[in-house]
Amino acid sequence: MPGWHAKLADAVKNGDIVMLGVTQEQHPERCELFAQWQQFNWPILHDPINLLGLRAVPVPILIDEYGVVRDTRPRTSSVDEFIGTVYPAQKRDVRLLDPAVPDLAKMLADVKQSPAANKWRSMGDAFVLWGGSSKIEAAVSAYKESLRLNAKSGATNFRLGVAYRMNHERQLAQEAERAGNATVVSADKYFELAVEHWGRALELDPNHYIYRRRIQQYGPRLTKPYPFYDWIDQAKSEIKARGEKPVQLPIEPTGAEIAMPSRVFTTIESAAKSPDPQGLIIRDSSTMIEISSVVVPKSVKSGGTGRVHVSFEPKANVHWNNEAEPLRVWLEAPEGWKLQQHLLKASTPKSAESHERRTIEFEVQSPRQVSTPATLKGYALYYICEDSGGQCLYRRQDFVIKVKVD
Amino acid sequence: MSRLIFTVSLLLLAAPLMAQTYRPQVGREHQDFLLPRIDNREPVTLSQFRGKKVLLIHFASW
Repeated sequence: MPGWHAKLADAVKNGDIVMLGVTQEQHPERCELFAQWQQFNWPILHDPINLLGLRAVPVPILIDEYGVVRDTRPRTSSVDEFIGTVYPAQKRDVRLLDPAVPDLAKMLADVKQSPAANKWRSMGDAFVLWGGSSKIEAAVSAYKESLRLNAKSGATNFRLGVAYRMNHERQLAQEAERAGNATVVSADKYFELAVEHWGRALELDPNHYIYRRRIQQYGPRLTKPYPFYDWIDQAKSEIKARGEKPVQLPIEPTGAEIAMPSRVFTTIESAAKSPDPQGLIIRDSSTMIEISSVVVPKSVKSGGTGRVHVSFEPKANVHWNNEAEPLRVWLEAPEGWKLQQHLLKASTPKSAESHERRTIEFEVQSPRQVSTPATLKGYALYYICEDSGGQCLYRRQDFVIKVKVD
Repeated sequence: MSRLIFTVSLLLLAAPLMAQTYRPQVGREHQDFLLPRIDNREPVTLSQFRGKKVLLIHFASW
């Protein structure tokens, strides 16, 4: 992209050509930050659901004044010829669309009147693209209805996964807003469903790079051909150095999204010891911290790896004590399975107390021959305080994580 | 012959159920599409750029 931008900067400025980008990623703000960093001054459109049916990126296309495709594999060296060529007018064949937000209520009434799988999917698409976060659940319902009529659509499964992931992040944002005064709703079930449907999409269309890439975004390092958002810190600092304010990211990339790819499964801290081997620490019997986990991909192949996302969410009436030791997690795997790490620590904010959801991620490798799911056993140790009364406690909570196998 | 008609009919019925794969062809009009801008969610169509030469570039920041 930066190559095309540099090559065409003058031509764009002179009005000889227009650059129009379409990004295939879940979070538009990240692409917006990238564009700000690279100083792209052309419009970029958001296609998180792969509406256009791309199977890979990047794909540059040269289109003439009449909307006719002139080159599907252009090189920067051949674009001058394209700009200088006078193309003949062509009779219009394709239906031109109205550049306006679709009438969602009208679409919904139509699809209810004459339901069909493709209509329900289009309804889901419209909710995702034009309905804002308040319509994400409606999008999920529409895609589910489409799958009820045609379960074997990779595209619909992928889009449902996108909507579930959006719903996961929407729930997290809502929980962050109401932290401390409302019932905690675990958002991980939506993330788990997103992973499940992305996996289903890839099963139906195993060579689809866009589907595969969305799973890789949250998956283990061994399956990543290259990183995702490792450039973000550099981008922010260079933008600030120019005296600009970087585009704000509502969801900062973490864990798998910024992890570097790896070609071998590495284990660290192999000498680490269980911090409570005899189980003497008092259990969190009232479950002040809710623990949930998601494994990516949804099942691990023989000899393959999975990345486990574990979240720890304080209930409404308690908060973390950040002046004490950070949240620690001890993990054990069944025989033959390898853990990247046995002992993990969650990062802690600088404030003395806080109420945020904390996450850890780690990777697990299955034995070469495996046919039964694994149960990872673990426990968390944490310092937690009650909001009223202010009593602070040191507690342990045991948990298990099921890892499915292919 | 009836078998061929049946197969073709099935394919025609199935066609709307399958998401289209992106296959722009040289010499043919590019399909129009409607998508929101990443910065302000404003709706934009490809056909809004008729009358200008366009480099359409599909990409991701990753």
